[in-house]
Amino acid sequence: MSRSRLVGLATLLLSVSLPPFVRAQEPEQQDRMAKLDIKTRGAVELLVDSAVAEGLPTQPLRSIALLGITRKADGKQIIAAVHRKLIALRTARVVLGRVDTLELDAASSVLIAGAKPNQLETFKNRPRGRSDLSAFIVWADLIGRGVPGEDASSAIARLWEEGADDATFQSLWNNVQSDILRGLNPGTALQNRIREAPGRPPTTKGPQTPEGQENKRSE
Amino acid sequence: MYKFVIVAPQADKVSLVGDFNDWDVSKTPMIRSGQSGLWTVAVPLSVGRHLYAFVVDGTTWLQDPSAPIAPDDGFGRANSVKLVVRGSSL
Repeated sequence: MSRSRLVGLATLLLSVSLPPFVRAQEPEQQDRMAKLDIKTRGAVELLVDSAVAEGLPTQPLRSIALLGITRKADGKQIIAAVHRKLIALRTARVVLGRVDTLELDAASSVLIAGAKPNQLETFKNRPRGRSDLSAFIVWADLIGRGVPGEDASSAIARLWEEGADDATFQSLWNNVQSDILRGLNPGTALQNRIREAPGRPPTTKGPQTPEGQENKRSE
Repeated sequence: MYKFVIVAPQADKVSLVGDFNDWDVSKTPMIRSGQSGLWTVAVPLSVGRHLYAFVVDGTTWLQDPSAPIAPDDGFGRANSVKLVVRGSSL
């Protein structure tokens, strides 16, 4: 066997023998993961391997582990945070089915922020080509800034069912944010602004276009 | 590209850390503008909800005073939030 074939075979064997977690990482991420103690790293690797086996995105899990490393967090905290994210990704997948990685990550953030899995179900059956990413991003952020979970959920679901596009979610976020900065209670700010949001009849097909929608962005 | 700005007149160095750079303090150093204490950097961001913070002199974490806050990062601290939706950012 030639030298080049031997090298190729050795490389193949090495890559196959490595766990999926290690194979999928960038070298820089591997270096930083090495800062974890053996027990913590092993636990994180198991969680990431579980995500790989289930077809879930792994980058959100690694990102949390790396944040914990930079924060110099305790190993138990890092494992708990990564585990919580894995559970949220898994739950979002069960509720929503196959969606792209960004949407699944955003949906998991909504769950971690405090939304209930059944509140995601509104987004399960959606027209082909329509993305729920903006809705999830704004929803998670509203809860994170103090809007009651039920209020945020019903407001976002209502807009979604009425066919709101990215610009509508964006303007809602901007307006609520500016009201909160002016001292308004977060829940009241949302209630006020959701009444102003442009309503549209529910749609059953095709992505929305911005035509005919008023952009209420205040900034 | 998305621009980040922080005022830290006493700082010797400031870094931007976030989920977009693996929270690596060495990856995105900010640049000081003259004597004003203004530090800036511009980075590309994908669509999504990005968490970030500023790290002053390698040890002190600061939130962005001009951005909303995500209250808990899983480690008992808060981070700032940059929302990037299609075509624009929040």
